[in-house]
Amino acid sequence: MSNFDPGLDTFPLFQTPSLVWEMVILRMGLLEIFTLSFCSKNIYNAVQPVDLLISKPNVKLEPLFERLRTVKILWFEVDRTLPVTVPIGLTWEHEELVLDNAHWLTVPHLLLMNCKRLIIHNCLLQDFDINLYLRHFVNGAVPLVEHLTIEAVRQDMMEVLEDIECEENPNRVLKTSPDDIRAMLITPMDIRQNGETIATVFYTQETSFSISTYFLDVVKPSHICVGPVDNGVSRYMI
Amino acid sequence: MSVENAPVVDVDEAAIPVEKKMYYRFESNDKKEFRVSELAIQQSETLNRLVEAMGYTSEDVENKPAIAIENIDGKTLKLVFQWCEHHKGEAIPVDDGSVPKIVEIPEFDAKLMDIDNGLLFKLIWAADYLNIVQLLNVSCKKVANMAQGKTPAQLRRVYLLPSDEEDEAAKRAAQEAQDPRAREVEEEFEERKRQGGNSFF
Repeated sequence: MSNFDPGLDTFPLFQTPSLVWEMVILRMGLLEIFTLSFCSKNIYNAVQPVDLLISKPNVKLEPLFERLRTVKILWFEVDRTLPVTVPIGLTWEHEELVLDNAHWLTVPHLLLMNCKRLIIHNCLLQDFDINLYLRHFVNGAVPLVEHLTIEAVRQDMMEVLEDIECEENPNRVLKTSPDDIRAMLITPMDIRQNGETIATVFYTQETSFSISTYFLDVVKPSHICVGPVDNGVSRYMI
Repeated sequence: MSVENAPVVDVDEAAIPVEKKMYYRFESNDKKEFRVSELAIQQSETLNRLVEAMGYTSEDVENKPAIAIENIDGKTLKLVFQWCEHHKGEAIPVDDGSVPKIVEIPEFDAKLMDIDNGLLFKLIWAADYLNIVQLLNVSCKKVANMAQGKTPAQLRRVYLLPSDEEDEAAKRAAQEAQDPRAREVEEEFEERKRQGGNSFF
């Protein structure tokens, strides 16, 4: 045990075991975590990722997101019982962005999410919304997005890919992990433009305890895919 | 057999053996002794496993030497056991890796932790060492609360946080300590430079 004998108003946080200081940080408020992240590069790295849950109404999101700009991995969730309106002009430029209970999400929001990895759970986007997004995606609206996953209700892929130049590509695989339980529902479709593959669309189904969940993945060529991070093991590549 | 048809048996309550409460004896590293109830010990996974493995009887507890806890002092251990006795019988949170969204510090715990930060530091180390999940939970919350309303400069001072330069220096020192040969090579290189040599290998 450390023999540290601090003064009355100091506490040597990083002289505690790593489990302890991690517990301390996880019990801080979001504002304190942000403030802490400005103290040094090591601390900045230590407080990633940020898991932000909006659980009360009337939270001013603009100043909050101004502070979130530097966060590499952001998990953002809005309590589904809250009538929260997420402003469209927010900046979302993270390496990885995971949205849960994204019932507030619209195409204009999505077109401002220029993140390398984007995972969306429980949104209300319709097939024609995703089609509209893909058209902008093809034209380079969100150039940093390399892999998008949308978990939604069953989709009509004919409508999702309507008027987008596509080609079946049965050789593309989304998963290489033998533990992955997702089943392909369509042959992977390459989105093409000027003879070049822009991305591949996968439509998959996961069934667990008789409950089916559907996923739409849009993946740029040769991108190494990292699946939804559950227990840090869902890692697969294209 | 249905419940209605089950035979009724008269129970002679006096004949039921009453389990005697067992109190274990522990000794801190400064030779202070504590008597702690079996139920209170269950709050500490480490101590609970230890006493289970020892398999002491009531006689053993009285006759054998107190169980030594060599890296916790009496002042800290007193707080730990006070906490365990107060919370004995309470459910122990399951460590499933999740983070409780809201941690409330009960009044008793708040009073117990109304101590200087030096002792709080030792209490947290003890809670971690003895694996007392809920004590660790509330004590970490107390430390987390110290950050409220502070600027980065104030946080650096409160938590004694190293700057980027100090982190770099510590990293270099750790690397050198891990690889003594690298340090020798560097010193030899510096020596040759001083002697005017321009080639090393």
